[in-house]
Amino acid sequence: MINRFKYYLLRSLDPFLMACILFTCFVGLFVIYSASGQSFDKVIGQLINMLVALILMWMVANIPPNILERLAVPVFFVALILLIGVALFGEISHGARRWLHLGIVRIQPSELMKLAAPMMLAWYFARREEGLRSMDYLVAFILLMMPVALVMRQPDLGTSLIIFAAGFFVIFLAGLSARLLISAGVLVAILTPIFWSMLHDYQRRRIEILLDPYQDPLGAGYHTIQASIALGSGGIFGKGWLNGTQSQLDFLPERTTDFIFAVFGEEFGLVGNLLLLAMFSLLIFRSYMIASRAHNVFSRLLAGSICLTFFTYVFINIGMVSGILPVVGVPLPFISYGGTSLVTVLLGFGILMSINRHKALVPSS
Amino acid sequence: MRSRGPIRSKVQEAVKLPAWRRHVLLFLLLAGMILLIGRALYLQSYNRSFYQKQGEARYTRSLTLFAHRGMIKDRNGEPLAISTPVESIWANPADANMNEQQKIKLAERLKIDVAEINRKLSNQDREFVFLKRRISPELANDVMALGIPGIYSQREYRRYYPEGEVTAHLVGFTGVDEKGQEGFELKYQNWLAGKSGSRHVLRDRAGHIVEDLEAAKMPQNGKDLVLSIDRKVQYLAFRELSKAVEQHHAQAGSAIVMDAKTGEILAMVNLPSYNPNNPTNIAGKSRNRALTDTFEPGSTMKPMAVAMGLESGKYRPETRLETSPGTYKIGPATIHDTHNYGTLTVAGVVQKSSNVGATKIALSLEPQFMWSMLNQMGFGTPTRIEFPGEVSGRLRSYKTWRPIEQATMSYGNGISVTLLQLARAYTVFANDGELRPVTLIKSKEIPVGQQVLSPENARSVRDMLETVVQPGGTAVKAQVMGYRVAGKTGTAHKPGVGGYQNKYISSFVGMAPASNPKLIVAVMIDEPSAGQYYGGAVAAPVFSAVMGATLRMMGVPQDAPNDNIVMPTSDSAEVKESM
Repeated sequence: MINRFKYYLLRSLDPFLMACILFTCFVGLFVIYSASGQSFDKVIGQLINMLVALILMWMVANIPPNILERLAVPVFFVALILLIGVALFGEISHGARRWLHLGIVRIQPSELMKLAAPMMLAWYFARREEGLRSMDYLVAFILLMMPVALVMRQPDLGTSLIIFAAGFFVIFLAGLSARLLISAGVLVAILTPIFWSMLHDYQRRRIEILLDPYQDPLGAGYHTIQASIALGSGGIFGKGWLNGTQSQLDFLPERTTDFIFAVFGEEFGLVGNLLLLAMFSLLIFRSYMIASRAHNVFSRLLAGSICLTFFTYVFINIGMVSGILPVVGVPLPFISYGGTSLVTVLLGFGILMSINRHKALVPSS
Repeated sequence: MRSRGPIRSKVQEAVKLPAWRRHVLLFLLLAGMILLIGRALYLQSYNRSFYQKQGEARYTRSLTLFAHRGMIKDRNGEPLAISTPVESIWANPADANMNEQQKIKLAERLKIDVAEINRKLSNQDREFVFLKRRISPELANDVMALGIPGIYSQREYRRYYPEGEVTAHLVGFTGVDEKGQEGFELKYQNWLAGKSGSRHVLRDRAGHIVEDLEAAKMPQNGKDLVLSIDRKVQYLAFRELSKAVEQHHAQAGSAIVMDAKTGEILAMVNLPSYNPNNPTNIAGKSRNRALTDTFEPGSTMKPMAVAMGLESGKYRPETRLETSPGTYKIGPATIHDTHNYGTLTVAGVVQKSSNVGATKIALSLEPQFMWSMLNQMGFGTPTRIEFPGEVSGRLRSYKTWRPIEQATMSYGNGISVTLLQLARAYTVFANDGELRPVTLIKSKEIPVGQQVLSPENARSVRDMLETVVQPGGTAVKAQVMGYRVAGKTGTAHKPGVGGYQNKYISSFVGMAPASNPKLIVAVMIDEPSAGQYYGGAVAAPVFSAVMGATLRMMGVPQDAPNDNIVMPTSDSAEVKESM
């Protein structure tokens, strides 16, 4: 009886992914405790976020991919309508319109779109599998750009970037021709200087600061410089848990959310940093394996996109905190405080687990 | 448009990802991870010492711990200058976020405009801007109770002078950062200021101190300074001098009360004065004129001339001198007395203040002898009192003296002195020929003086000075109830452009009780212009009031019956001194 229950509970979960996820979440709780100025409330709050997200992940892991495929279109359009709703009736906080009140719940449709968009595109390419034309890429591109544009206008550059990446990965994996990709790249390369010359001085200056924060050390560049100092002063072995001066003394902005990696890096040093990167690499590697073993087009495209999107999260966040990318608001999976993005990431892993488990059940094409 | 065939075949292959795409993808993932690892190595290994230094610079701060400035007290320990704690409200514009409501409340309490707050907070690049300096600690508490982030309060000290303009010239005042600007605040800056300490601290971005990195160097508080001044005597002298300056429409005035034995200054007052608690527009008011300004003393110098005559051995007090017809010619110049006094004794020369008599004595002396006597009595050299800005007056070398100059110096023209020098010179008569050094700092022992005159001659001159205040003398108004007084008036033309003008300096220097002088009081009034200008009429009453009150205050035993004051009968003319 108990064994059956255990089996029922665990059969949908991939042990390797679960181990990596739980370990990283565990580390995250310690970092949040330190970054929040040793607030147990924050740790408890994040623990609850994790449990909720894990339960949702478990539920999704039990939904077979063919059901997900059928859900793709309604989910996408519901999400799109909600995004339009945000644009019209959304609640403004911190200068951006991101949240929507639906009776008792408050939701952030842009997060949902991070999964809905690649599902929709994967569904579309799976449908058009037999007669894929150039026109189909255009349709897919237009489908993708609608939510991306809506989110960018909120404005939420980080999230729109993730949605775009998730969708673009589907298009790329569906076989977007290399020639098209290369010619688009060349076109961008040619247009950039022309575009640059058309900008106003202050617009150029903004972009320059985005690329080189040291031009404005007290303004836009402040985050990046402080984060680099926190990381660098951590050295090889770090200053030890709860001992990071830059982060503990309030020099580091947004240190429980987007910039939490700087707290981690200062306190655990290069060693901790490399360990965390190794953990993320394992998750990406396992996801990549699942994607490449998927048995139909929808599963393969969706799994590939989820894998690459997860990589994108990690790369943009750590790249931004360590000063090689401009500052855009992308959280670090499993470590940053906050429930919404955690749910999205874990739902993605739930889908991956479902695809992994159901590969034999789905008829091969 | 591309043909349909190749695309379809590509899609069919794409069920499994084409090999090159897989490789490109794997390569990109790997490259991304390697980039992150490379950056981590750069930051946390290769370049870590740079970032560690940068980090330290951001969280450690050196703070100055201000020393408490010492008090300036009078001889009885009464405060003349005190540092009281005040608070200054400052803001870090980057952190000071407040709504309009808070802004209005803040402005109300600080009594400034909201616009001013906005202006001060508008410069986001600055980390420190004063909103209001030097408010009371209570008000600062009220402001801090608003709990506005980015608004801080800083302890400072404000110098307070309880005696205000009465002691302004002595005590002086401090400027920014409590640095002495005038008077004792300036002269004793290091003594009073002490040494500030320092703290090396760990600080968070809001500026709060989190912990000390090393033991704090505690500040060494400044030391107190105890002056020889007696607050009550000072006040008395100021009050009487003010009355006289006002009554006689004078430009300025100074008065000194000195302990005749110890040379301690009990009071030194000047007019015009200013409020050191708010030192604005102080040009011309801030000088301690009693020792920074010189004047031609006039007849207050005659006792010196007489003393020199006695000391030379050529004269005795009762030696007779012919002063008629009241004038005396030296080359083209003529020296005048106000009346023809006929034959006067040496004592009479002092009592009547005869210029002709003084001239005759002076001209019979060797210039070198006369110069050396004047020099020993302290003329032409500073008193070396511990005070900034003291001047030495002018006593030219005897080698350049012409007879007319030697003559006029005997009655105080052609020589310039400070009131302090004059008061000090009179210690010779008060202390049986011994010149005592003067001081503004309270001292415990009687200083060693310098014997300038023989005790007998000094006493003789003192006796002559007693006759000055008696009927037939020039300063009956200098008499003091219950005490014998010895002193001398002075009335001098002020030298101006192109010779002497009809402007005067009236003075009186004297001592009491004459039997064993305890106090010397010197009064100088500059340009009395309400009609009277003789020292006996303008300066002597100030002397009498100050001397009398001070003697009684100090409980000095009387040496004369209480009804000693003898005024000349109304029909006999008051004796006017010569100029």
